[in-house]
Amino acid sequence: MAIDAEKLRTGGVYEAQAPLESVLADAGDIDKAEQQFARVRKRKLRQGFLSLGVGVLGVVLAVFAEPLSLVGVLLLIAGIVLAVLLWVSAYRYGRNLKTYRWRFELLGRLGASLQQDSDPKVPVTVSLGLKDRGRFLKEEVWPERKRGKQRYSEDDWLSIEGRFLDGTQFTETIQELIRKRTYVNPRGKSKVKYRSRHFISVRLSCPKDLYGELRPLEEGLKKTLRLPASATVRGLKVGGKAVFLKVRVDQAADLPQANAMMYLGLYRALNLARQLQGRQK
Amino acid sequence: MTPSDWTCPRRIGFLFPHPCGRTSPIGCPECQNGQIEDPYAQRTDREGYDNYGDYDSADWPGAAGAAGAPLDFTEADGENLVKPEEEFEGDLTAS
Repeated sequence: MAIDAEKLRTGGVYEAQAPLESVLADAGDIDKAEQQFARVRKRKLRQGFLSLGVGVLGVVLAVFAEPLSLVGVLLLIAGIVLAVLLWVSAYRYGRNLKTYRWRFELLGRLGASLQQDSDPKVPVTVSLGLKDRGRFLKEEVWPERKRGKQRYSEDDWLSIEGRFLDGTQFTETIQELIRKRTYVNPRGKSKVKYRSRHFISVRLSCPKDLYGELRPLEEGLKKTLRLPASATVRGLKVGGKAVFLKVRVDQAADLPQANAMMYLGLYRALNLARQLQGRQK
Repeated sequence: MTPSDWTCPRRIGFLFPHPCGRTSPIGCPECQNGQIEDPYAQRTDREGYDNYGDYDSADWPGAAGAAGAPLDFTEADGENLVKPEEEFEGDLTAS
């Protein structure tokens, strides 16, 4: 499935229902599209400088060639206006993809990891946000600072669903919780500070005949689950035939590792369940 | 030379073992041209889980109770991880 780079640039959302192999190819195409956008940004930046050059030429005409002074002034104004427009456009063009590049890189890594155990015939459903789609949650006074306020929003930026070779359905979502603090510092300057945390939720729904009862594994799962230093467990539920794990990750750089470790931890328990179930048969 | 009807019997997989099924080990990234006997068990890229396939009964009290025996699995138990899946994969009507 080929991506529509222009739609991705303006819409900022990648959605697909396709085999993982195709999704991985798309992640590579998004990367290429971002590189193309970067070239356009550079070109616009150069054109901006060229327009500024025309403006400078206008100044020269206005000062040194009196009969053409009006033309010179017009050139100066047009050159500056055009330069500003081009620079703003260069800054904004495909900016979302540049800012959220790490998100489709993460999708690529996640896809490559899941692909090793996924059913190649079964399509996965993916939705990846490549722009800020933060939903406002609440705003409150931050009393520690002068005119302090803190605003919370959340962005559900990734969801992926599919099936592993053993018939287990997996559903994963990643949500970013953003806190924006605004205040005035002792020197009277307005300040803005951002902090974000990511929440990864993974649900595995397993074939009962293969894995049997999963509830006896809950304690062991709690004991043996390993995560990176910046990650903490925020929820673990073990039902009869499904497990759910929610983890908070404080450093975005730890997301790929946390993600892999979550699946490994859950599947280590499932492999045990499967071996126990095999003994009973 | 590999026979034409040969399929690789090795176990592969990151999260759980499943049959390789490739028709030739040549150029295989899993067994590296047949050099690795058990690609699933011999993986070294499971971050934080060095002993992925080993279970300590003290860590899994519920499971040990359910098994009614210590969690010292044999090779036959390991094979159980692969065999039922082959049946599942063969059954295209499943889920």
